[in-house]
Amino acid sequence: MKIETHKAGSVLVIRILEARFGADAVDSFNQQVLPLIREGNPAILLDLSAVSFLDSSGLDAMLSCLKAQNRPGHLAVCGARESVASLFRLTRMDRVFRFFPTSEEGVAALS
Amino acid sequence: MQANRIHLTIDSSLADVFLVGLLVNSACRFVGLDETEAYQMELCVVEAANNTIRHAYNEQAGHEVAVSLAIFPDRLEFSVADRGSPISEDVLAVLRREASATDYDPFALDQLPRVGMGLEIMREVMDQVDYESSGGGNCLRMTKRIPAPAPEV
Repeated sequence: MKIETHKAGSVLVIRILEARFGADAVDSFNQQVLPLIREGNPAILLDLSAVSFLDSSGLDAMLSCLKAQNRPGHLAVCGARESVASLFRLTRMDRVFRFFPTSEEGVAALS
Repeated sequence: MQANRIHLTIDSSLADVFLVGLLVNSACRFVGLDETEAYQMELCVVEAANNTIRHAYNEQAGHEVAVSLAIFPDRLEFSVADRGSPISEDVLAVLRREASATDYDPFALDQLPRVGMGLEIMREVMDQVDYESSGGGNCLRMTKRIPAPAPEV
């Protein structure tokens, strides 16, 4: 899985560059992203704007990120298109993650 | 009622499941479902195929996962079949609505569910989900009603 990271002030933005975030991408995602979270970044924003397909395995990997973050309220999701956002609602995970329409709004809220 | 059907067999490898997803999504868009509806159909079939590879075949490649799609004027029918281990009773309870994978405390991160979510999604999205295991084979069938096409003038 290809990801891109950049720092926006105190927020580490992790952008997933793949259209599909499914079960076959989870190991690669975990290997790249969990170390970034464990480095102790105070706030993390997962940018899903390039993702058109997410399944429950991908969602579970994002949940692992949330658990690995010492301050769960400081890990959020941005850029999810309506179809992908519907998975969060179907699984009630919209109660667990914070959502922002754009990266800029997510960075502003987490800063 | 006449249907258009396609049967597709993939190897029991998670890396090949996206092929099934692409097919389902394209067919659903063709019959008029919007992006989110087509995504949710694709999601259900992908979840079923992932479950088969993980649980029926214990993530061992070299086994067949048989997927079929039938397009009726008023519904879509999907099936995912295998010849591996059947779904366990505790997970099937989600399908029978005797248990729920989404009945959890969102603030208790250590207690969030890790099993049954795929079946919970299918149950939420589809109009009907059935599972049958007999004669060494297993088959999950899902049905989604769709609006009938407008009559030609």
